[in-house]
Amino acid sequence: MSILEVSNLQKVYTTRFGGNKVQALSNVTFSVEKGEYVAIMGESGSGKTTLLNILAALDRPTAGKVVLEGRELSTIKEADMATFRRENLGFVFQEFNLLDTFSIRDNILLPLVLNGAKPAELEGKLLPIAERLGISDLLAKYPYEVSGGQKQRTAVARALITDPKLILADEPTGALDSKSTDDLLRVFRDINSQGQTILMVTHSTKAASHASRVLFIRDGEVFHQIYRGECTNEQLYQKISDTLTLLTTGGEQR
Amino acid sequence: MRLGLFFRLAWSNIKKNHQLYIPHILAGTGLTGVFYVMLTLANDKRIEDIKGGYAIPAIMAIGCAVVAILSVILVFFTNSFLMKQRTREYGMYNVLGMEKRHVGRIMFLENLISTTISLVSGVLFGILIYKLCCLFICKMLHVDTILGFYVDPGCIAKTVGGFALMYFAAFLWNRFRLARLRPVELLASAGAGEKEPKIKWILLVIGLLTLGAGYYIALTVESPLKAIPDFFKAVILVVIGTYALFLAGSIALLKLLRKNKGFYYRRKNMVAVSDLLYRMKQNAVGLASIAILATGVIVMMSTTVCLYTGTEQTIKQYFLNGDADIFLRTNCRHSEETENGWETHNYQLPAETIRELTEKTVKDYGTEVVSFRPMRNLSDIFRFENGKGSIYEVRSTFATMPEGTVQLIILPVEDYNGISGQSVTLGDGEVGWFALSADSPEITKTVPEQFRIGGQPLRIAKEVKALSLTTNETYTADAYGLIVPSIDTLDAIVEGLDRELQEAYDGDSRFYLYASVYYTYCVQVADAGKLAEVDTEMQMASTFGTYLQERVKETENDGGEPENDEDDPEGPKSYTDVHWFWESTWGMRNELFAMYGSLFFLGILLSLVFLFATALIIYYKQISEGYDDRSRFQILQKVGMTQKETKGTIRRQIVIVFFLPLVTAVIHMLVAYPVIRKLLKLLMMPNDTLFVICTGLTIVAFALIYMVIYRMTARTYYRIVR
Repeated sequence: MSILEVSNLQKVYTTRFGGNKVQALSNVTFSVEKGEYVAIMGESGSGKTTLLNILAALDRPTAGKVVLEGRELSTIKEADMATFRRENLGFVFQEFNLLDTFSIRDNILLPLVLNGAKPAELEGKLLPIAERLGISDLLAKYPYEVSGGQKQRTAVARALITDPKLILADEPTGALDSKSTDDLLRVFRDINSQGQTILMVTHSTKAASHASRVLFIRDGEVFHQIYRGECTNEQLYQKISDTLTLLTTGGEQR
Repeated sequence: MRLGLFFRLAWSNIKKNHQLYIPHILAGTGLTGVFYVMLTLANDKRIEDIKGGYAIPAIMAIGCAVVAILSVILVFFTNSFLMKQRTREYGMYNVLGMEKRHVGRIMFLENLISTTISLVSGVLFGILIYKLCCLFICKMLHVDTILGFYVDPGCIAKTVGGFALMYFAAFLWNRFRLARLRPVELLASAGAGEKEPKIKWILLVIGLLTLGAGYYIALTVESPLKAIPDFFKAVILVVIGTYALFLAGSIALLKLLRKNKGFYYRRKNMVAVSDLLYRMKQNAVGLASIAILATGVIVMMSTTVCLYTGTEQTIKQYFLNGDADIFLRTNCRHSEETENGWETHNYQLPAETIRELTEKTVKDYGTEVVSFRPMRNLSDIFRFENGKGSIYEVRSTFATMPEGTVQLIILPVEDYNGISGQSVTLGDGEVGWFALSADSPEITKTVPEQFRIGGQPLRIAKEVKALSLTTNETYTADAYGLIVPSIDTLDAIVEGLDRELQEAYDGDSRFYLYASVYYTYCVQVADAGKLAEVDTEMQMASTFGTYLQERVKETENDGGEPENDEDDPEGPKSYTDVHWFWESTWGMRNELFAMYGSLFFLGILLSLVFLFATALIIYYKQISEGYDDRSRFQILQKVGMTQKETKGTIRRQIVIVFFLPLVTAVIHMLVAYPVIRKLLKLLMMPNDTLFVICTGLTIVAFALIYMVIYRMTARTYYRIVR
């Protein structure tokens, strides 16, 4: 059963004074199954971020539609959008986007509180997630007191705490050193193995090699995709690497 | 060539940072201008010479001092803000290969340019508004002298010199800080993580204690005269308390709220509480300053407006509620050395004679006397011990009055009846009384029912209708009028008191305080306006004096005896011994308008400066918060807050932060109310209703202006956040 269906997505940006039109997405169609771990790869300017913004309902497509668990995003009213996002999606960003006025604990709890959860329920939800992500000891600390990897795990915890249908991750390893990257990817694997659907945009081959499926985007279209199948991470890494070489050396063929 | 490059760089830096520099330069312009105006007013001989202008130089000198202190604080405040915002930029220059001395040179040129603009435009602004101020002063003092254009080079030099020195000191401070910073720090200083605010317990305790003490003093001040030193003590304590509580108290309160899980983890509260915590940490000093400035404006404006607009009422009340236009008092006194030391003799001309002289004088000036009523009285501070009242000598102006002290005006029943129109009768040894201020308790609280005063046994018999009398020195809160059965009783009392005082001073009558009856006469004329018009009080008083002296001379000559006649030791010995005391509604009006007019003017000028300072602090607060809030705003939206919610929570926080100083100022003012009321009493302004109205109006006006300032600066804020 597919949780996310994207069909014929198109996005055209018009510069402020009319005139120039920039086609960010020309025709994107794909779907994500429940429990899948999908990585989307592409060069800078390929339309990755535009796609993610549309999936996150932060931006609206020019044409085409996005259906999340049977609900079409364009039918949701602007006023309900934030609530919809809060209840259905979890976000992990490259720059962590933690509030430095909040302790780690409060950063994680924020979406729950915004959802109107009862103060008494909070601790019960927080502790298992913090335990799983190995940040139980850090809860009282502030973002400026912890490392980049710990910040990102905090961000993951914040994304998970509302039990979202889909986690959208935008270059989650972009600001991390290699050890923290490994840690984070292991975390993603873990939560995915427990049934969490993840969609990750990245241009790190290593990050993508942990996914169960990799989509390649070029010039606003889905250019290619690779299923993990029975491959190990290393084998998948090789496959991705080959595809990227093909992509950049410019084979127009499919 | 090289200098040219630096100069261009400095100039383009200022232009690029105009959002920071324009308020900085405007502040400099405004402060320089106002300082120049005050300094020139304090030195302008022509102002001093206008009718009622004598009070202005002294009052403006006070104003100069206040503006100077405020200028130092504000210049350093805006300077440190500029420095903080631009540290990164200076760091960038350093990283791009400029040496620190080059950066220092650019910094110097920037300072030079902004200072020059501030000073030149400030002095021009000052010269322009000077004439306006002169016109305004003339209007307020009710004189129609219009003064020409006036420039005082000496004052310009002093103003420019002083401010230039201040700006140079600010530059040296910046240069010092630059020298100590390392390039990496220069670059990083804007992005450094903000530490969680800690509760400063000691400061919190200090704040609670000082504010509590200040409030306690303000609320428990007893006598108006004690109100002066107490008021200043209270002001200092409250200022310290306000700063300490804004710094420590706000954070303690917010942390307490955060500890309360049931409250904190709610959609509306969570973001607001933790954001406010950081906001308070950054802005506590600025907000406390706004609260203090706001309190200053409200106190200054409410009191000066009240005094100025209440002048007529004060005069009316002083002159028997409008039943008199002139108070007249004469006394002929002669002191001579005898074998027993110095002796003083008092001699009174008969009331009829004084009446004739007054009528003659008033006629000379074109109108006539309507009523002439004696109000012979003894007015002094008494202390009652064991049923005996004696004159209490006030040794120090600010001394605390001991238990049992009371101010009394003692007058004979016939004079009381004449003035009040009542027909009170008193038996032998009986006295009537009335309170001089509405809030005085029953007289029996301080004066026993049976008492002796000046050897006379008296008994408090009844309360009579109050007369509108103002005591000259308001030492104690409790002041009463005391009615004795006749003038003979009063004379006997005075004689007795005089003897007591002589004994106390061992007969050296040159130095002892003598008790004497004030032979005061209340004169009402047909047309006081006419007298005020053709004459100043001084001229009329001296005409009266001339007549009086002639008359005294005649009396001497009538007796046909030479001076120092031993048969008539009571008679005056020479003209110089003739004293007369003369007070008139128009004389008092001139004096009060001079005093209150210049105070009012100072109040307005200082309030404008204070408002300006407030605006500046708010503006810089908004800008610095704007930059911080922008990223917070974006993150909140990414995490799933709607745009509306985000805007709502930010607006709510800003409004809280905005109203906090205003609310604080209003609370301060309410607490200060009793002290200020007592201070006003000292200035003979007993009308409470007027003061309440003035205070209310001032608060409303201030809140409105504050709101406008906020609106204007909020626009800049939203532009940054968006």
